[in-house]
Amino acid sequence: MMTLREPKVMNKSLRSISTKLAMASAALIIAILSIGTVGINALSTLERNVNQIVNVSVKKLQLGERIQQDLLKMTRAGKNIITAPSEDQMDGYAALIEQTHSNLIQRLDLIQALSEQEDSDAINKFRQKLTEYMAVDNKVLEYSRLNSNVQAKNISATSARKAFDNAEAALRNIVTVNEKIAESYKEQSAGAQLKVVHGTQIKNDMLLILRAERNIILSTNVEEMREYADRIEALQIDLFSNLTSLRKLTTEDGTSKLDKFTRTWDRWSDVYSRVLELALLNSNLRANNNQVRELSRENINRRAFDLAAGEGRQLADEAGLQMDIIVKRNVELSTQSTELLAMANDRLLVASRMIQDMLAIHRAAKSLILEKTQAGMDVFSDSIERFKVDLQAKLNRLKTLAGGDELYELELFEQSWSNFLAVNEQVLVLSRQNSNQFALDLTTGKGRELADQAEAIISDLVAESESSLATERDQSSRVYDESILVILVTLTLSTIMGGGFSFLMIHMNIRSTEKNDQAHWIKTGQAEMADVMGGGLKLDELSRSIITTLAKYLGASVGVIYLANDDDTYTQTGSYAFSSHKYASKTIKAGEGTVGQAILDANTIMVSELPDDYIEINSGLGEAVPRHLMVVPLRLEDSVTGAVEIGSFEPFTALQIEFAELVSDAIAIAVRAGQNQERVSRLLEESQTQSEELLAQQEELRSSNEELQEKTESLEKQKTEIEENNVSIMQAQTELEEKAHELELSSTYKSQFLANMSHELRTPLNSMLLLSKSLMADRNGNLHDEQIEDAKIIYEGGQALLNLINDIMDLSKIEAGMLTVIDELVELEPLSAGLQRLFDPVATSKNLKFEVDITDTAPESINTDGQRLEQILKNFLSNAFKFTKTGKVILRISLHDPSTDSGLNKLNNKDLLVISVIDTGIGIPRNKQQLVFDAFEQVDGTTSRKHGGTGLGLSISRELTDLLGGEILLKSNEGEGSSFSLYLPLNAERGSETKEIQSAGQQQTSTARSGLVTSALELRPTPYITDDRNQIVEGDQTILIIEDDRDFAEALMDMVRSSGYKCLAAADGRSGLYLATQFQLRGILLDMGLPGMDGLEVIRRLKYQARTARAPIYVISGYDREGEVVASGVTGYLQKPATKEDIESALSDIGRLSLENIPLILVIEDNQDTQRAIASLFRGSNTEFAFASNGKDACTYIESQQFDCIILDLKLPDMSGFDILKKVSWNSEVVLPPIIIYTGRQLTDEENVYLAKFTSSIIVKGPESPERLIDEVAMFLHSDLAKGQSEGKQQVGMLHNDDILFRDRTILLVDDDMRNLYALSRELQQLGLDVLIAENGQVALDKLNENPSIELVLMDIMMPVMDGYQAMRKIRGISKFSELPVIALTAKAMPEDRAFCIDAGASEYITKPINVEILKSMLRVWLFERIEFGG
Amino acid sequence: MDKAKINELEVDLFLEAIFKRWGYDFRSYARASLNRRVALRLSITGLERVSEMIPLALHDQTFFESFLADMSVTVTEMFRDPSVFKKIRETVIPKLRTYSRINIWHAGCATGAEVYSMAILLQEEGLLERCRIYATDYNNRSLSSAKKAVFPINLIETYSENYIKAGGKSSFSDYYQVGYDSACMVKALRNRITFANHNLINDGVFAEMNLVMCRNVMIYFDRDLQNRTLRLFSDSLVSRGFLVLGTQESLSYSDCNHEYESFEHKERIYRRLAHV
Repeated sequence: MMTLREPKVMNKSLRSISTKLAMASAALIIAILSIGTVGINALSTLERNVNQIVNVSVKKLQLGERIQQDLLKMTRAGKNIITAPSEDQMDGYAALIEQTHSNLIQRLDLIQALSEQEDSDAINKFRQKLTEYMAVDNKVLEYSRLNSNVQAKNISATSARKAFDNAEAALRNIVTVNEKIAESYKEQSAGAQLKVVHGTQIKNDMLLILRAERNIILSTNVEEMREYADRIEALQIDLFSNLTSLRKLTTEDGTSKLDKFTRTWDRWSDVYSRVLELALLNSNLRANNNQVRELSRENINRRAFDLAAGEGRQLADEAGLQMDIIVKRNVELSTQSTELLAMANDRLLVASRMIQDMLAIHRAAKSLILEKTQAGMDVFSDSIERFKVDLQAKLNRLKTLAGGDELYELELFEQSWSNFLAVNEQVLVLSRQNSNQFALDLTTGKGRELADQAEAIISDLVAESESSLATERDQSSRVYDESILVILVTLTLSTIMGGGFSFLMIHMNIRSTEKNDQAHWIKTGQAEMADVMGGGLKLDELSRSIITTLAKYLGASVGVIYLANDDDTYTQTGSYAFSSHKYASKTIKAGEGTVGQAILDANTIMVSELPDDYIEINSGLGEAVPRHLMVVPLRLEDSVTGAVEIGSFEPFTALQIEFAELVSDAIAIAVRAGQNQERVSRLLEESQTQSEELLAQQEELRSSNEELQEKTESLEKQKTEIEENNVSIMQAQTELEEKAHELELSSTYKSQFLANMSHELRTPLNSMLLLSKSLMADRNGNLHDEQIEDAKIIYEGGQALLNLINDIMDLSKIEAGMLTVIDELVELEPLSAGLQRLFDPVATSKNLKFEVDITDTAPESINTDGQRLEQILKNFLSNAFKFTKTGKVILRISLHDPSTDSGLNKLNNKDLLVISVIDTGIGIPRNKQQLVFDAFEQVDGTTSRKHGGTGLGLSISRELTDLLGGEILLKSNEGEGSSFSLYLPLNAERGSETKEIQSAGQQQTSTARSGLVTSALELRPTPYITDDRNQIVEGDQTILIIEDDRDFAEALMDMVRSSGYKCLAAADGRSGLYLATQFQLRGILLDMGLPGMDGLEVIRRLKYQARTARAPIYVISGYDREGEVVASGVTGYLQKPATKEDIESALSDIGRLSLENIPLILVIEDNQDTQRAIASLFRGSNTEFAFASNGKDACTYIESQQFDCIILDLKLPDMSGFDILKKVSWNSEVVLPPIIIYTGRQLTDEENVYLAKFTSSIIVKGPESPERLIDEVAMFLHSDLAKGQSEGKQQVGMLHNDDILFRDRTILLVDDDMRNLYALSRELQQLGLDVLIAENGQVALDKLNENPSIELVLMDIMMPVMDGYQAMRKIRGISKFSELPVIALTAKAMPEDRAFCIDAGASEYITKPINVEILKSMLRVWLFERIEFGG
Repeated sequence: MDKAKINELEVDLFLEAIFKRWGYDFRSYARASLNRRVALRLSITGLERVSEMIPLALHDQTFFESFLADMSVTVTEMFRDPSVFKKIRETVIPKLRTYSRINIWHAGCATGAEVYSMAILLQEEGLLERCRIYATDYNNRSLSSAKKAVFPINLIETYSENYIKAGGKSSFSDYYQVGYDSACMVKALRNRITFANHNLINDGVFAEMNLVMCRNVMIYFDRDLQNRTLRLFSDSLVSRGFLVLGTQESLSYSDCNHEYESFEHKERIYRRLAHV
């Protein structure tokens, strides 16, 4: 019985439970529905209201600020009106005020439209003040105009002053009023800001509450729910307190909105409490649910809940439908706002780029002004043009993007901009006309102002765009939040329904198990999918979990999901159990393949019986091929957002297909929401980086503009300075001119004075002469012999005085430019006959021969001033007779033979007449030859007494010769007579300039030269071999002549001797070489064509002997082999026939090249061509070369002689350059000079490091290497390094005393910088240290491990591969190196860097550039310590 | 004292605080630009006066780092001003070819675009293997981005154009690998570059250079600091070494003017005169 009754009882109790449950479920669904519709709607309205309040406040604030700016602008313009000098400008400012005013009014209207009553009152008050202001402002304008008129007409100063004061007072008044208004507005805006704060807080609270509510619905246990409920309560309290604060701040109109909000919120609260209740109930229900399920399994009472199930289902469907609507609206909203966001972003971008363009134009204009060349200007004006076009395009684009208010701003901008462009055009024109000053004024003054104005407008636009961007961004994220919320609610709904329905289904199962199971399966799947999609995942994660969940739920073996891109293609964004396949492509188009087809049709496609190789599923169990395929498009309204493709081994059931299609809608929504969100965040990120970038670019442009500005200014300053300088230079010049004029005058005065004086002197002198002459005659015979003698002395004295006066007269006449030349045809025969007649008696009386020799070549006559010519010749002759005691005087007239070198200095005519007066008198010593032409000079002071004469004769002759356009050459040897030659052009073409008196300086040179040449040509014959080899003592300067032409050798020898050298001579190369090794030579004069060994060979041998390599060689050769010879390293080359000047200058070259100062360079190079090339590079510079063709010679040279520099090729026939360096560096006696590696091949890092011990100059041969070689050599020869070379030996000597500590200690130098390696290792080696080298941290570690003898490490910080910090850490990480001293070398100067080094393990720290003294003392400390520890 | 003067005073104090606290000396930056950037930081911070940022400057490392980032304006692109790179290729490279080891210093390398441009150029001229390029900046953020050698893919087009204008000998695409939305410079280029933190304001010479590139860095410095920086370059350069400045910069008004000759006037390439 019991067994029979029990089911009945159970049935009954079950039925009652079920009824309750069904009712509860239905109630729950209704409640949820009401939340879904009412709650959400109310909330979004609410939020929109708050947003609106916030937005309005923000907008008002912005407008207020602008109004403030406008006011300031107006005030400024008002002030400017008062100070403006012209009416034009006043008009300009008045217009500006007018414009600003109308802007202001517009803004005011806007603000009033946004404002509530209370604000409106304030605004009206403001308007009133503004009108007052405008009235006063007009008055100001009026007064100012009056003022300018007053000034212009220069009426009364007092009335003008009064008008000005009035205007200013009025203005001050306005400013005060404005400030007050601004103050009050500020207060208001502070209030608005507070409102915004409260509003935002309320918004936040609401969001938090909603989230908590959501959590309540989703949570499964009661404790959690309670927790959320508590939180909601707290938030609600907070919200209300904010609301109260907001209410306090809000005016009437705002209050009504707030009331609305409160009402809605109350409604929400009601709904919420129901939700809470239901949720709690639901959780209880869920607990029961399990029990029920158990029971239903037993299949009891199947029909009990048919009705309930039917109703429940209907209700649920309705709820779903409504939810769908909400979801779709939200998706739409989110898409729209994303688009808005993108547009705002564009706007911002374009506006910012415009600012950049403007800055660039401005800069180009400035650069243009600074530019000097037309071509340069073209470049800049082209770029201006380009930017202008760009900017216009951007402006147009911006117009299409802009809204109403912005359009207005853009118009303003266009206006300012076109003004600026007009000014800019003016600037361009002015610049081209080179009126830089005006252009500059324009661009810095008016142009700048206009550009700033335009920039300000665009900046406003940018700011506006930014703020609207921010608003839209908020909007977008709000919509997104909302839609997510809605989706969540939908999903929750289905979850709950899932729970509820599962229960219902159970009961349906009573009727049809299969059908119930199916429905249950679908709902469970939906719930599972909902769980996956709600987590706020990123798009790729979302697609992955969607496809995974879906495939798993369908029991499929493989699945992929495709999502739409912007360009109608679809990309595979997620997959399940799918690796890759030849047919599967990552991106497809609509209509492409099965998936594409499904997308195109927006319909599910089923495929069965797939080919074997369609897809292979990789699994550990083997490879299997799915046979069936289902492709489901993801539809959203009219579009398809993607597709899922599922593969299975078994055919898909109708239920599976139904499920897939069912969830595809939810997937589509989730995916679209995800896509939107992704797009929004991408846009946000993009706009952020873009605006950052733009900001940076603008900053750079601005800075470079300012830099340019500064340069313009300093240019300006320089210009002014130059102008000032010019003025003072002009002044100085004028002064100089005046002085010169004065000087000229005084010189004329002097000459006139002299002329007058001589006349005055002559008159008494004349009578004196006459009287003394008559006294001498002693006509009365009453005088003693003594008296007659006295009279004779008086007469002779008077005669001498008269001559002197005459000469002075002549000279001063010439100097005063009073002497004129009268050209005539002078026949030479009569001239010479006259002279012969004149001087024959003198010759006879002195017992001398006087010969007149007219050669055959001489012309018969010459066109010149005969009187002056005669005067000159008389002078010559009287001198000749005066200074000749025995022998003869010759007057020779001939035609100049250009082939014999005459030493003429001034004349270069071919047709010259030469009249020479040659004597065998006392001659003139060489050093006096230049003096004899100077006024009042004779060879020596005493001569005048011996020979008489004024000493003016030659001066006058020279001046006269100049007047005649001729030249005098003097050849003389002391004791051997003199010859004065007068050269005159046959065809006198005297320009006025030839009459100009030559400066003394030029004259001296010419005479000096002619003297020297004479000594060379009038040589005493000497036997060839008689040189000075027996007289040479130590300290003598000796020159070797190697020349087989005996005569020429003699000539050379004399020149050499007279230059103060001892001389050696050799007729052939071999004996020359012999002499060269015997004597220390100062220089060598060498012929090329020698018997036996030729000149080139001699050079080669000289150069290859260290002892002779240094002597400068001058080649004097008849062969044209200059190139070859020069390349062999000689100092100079003369082509025969060499002029005396050439030889002279060669000797002086040799003289100049003091032996100690000629750098000697050793070239170690096996290629003869390269040897020559190097030598010819240095032609003309004072360098001597020695060559070594192989390593052995090179080593011998280096060890036997000190070179100034070595140029080393690394590749040599017998040993490498490295070996040479190794070998010579072993020899402690040798101090190596600077070494330049000149190599044809690229070196390895090891080689570089090895060479760093010796040099930092490594030249790789190539087209540019010659220049580099010269640079490097020059640097060494002039650097301190080269000077330090000679001190090197001393340092080695000191080593034993002071630096004994360092001997044979090994340290490791780690640095990758060649200069440091070289310089430091050199210094350190000289201390006696063994220096190992590593070029980076890694190598250093290796070396440390290889060489236990290393006692200290010098560590650079900045290195490739492994830097110093890292290396030190590694070193310290090895226990045996924990105490090893490591000194860090760094360029960093901050104390922090020091700390870094020490932290990394450095024992000490030294800053670059390294002070070697400090380093040495550091080394002493650390190495000494080492001894202590070690010993 | 008017408002502007007070603000100026505040900026002085702020910079002093930064210097004393962190050792970065911005006191000799060009004032106008500096003021702009201080103002920017101020507006981001949301404070009203510059002096209010002093406590932040003293105690808040994050604030300081942001300010540091503000101060380094990182405008750069590959082969920026292509004509400069073209001239370097045509006239400077032949001279550098004679050196067995070539040191190049990009002072103020920002995100390294020009450094990689130089590496590409040297690679094409067959010199990269002998070169050591030092790329320094005081902004660690820039340096680490430069080290990564990653550039946004949307810039590659501009870079390619520049590369061609600069006389590029092959295809720009040979030098980068494309990732999802970025391009990474190939490793071969990166091997010869040493990135390091170096501050032109305080730090000294660290190696001998054959070529110094310092483009559009000194426009942010005042005259004294410009001179100091140029001194540093002079001390770093080998005799006859090269200095390349930005196209708007010049040596004309600097103390070091007499130590250089103008090598390519328009491109602002200068050459150190021989040390004597």
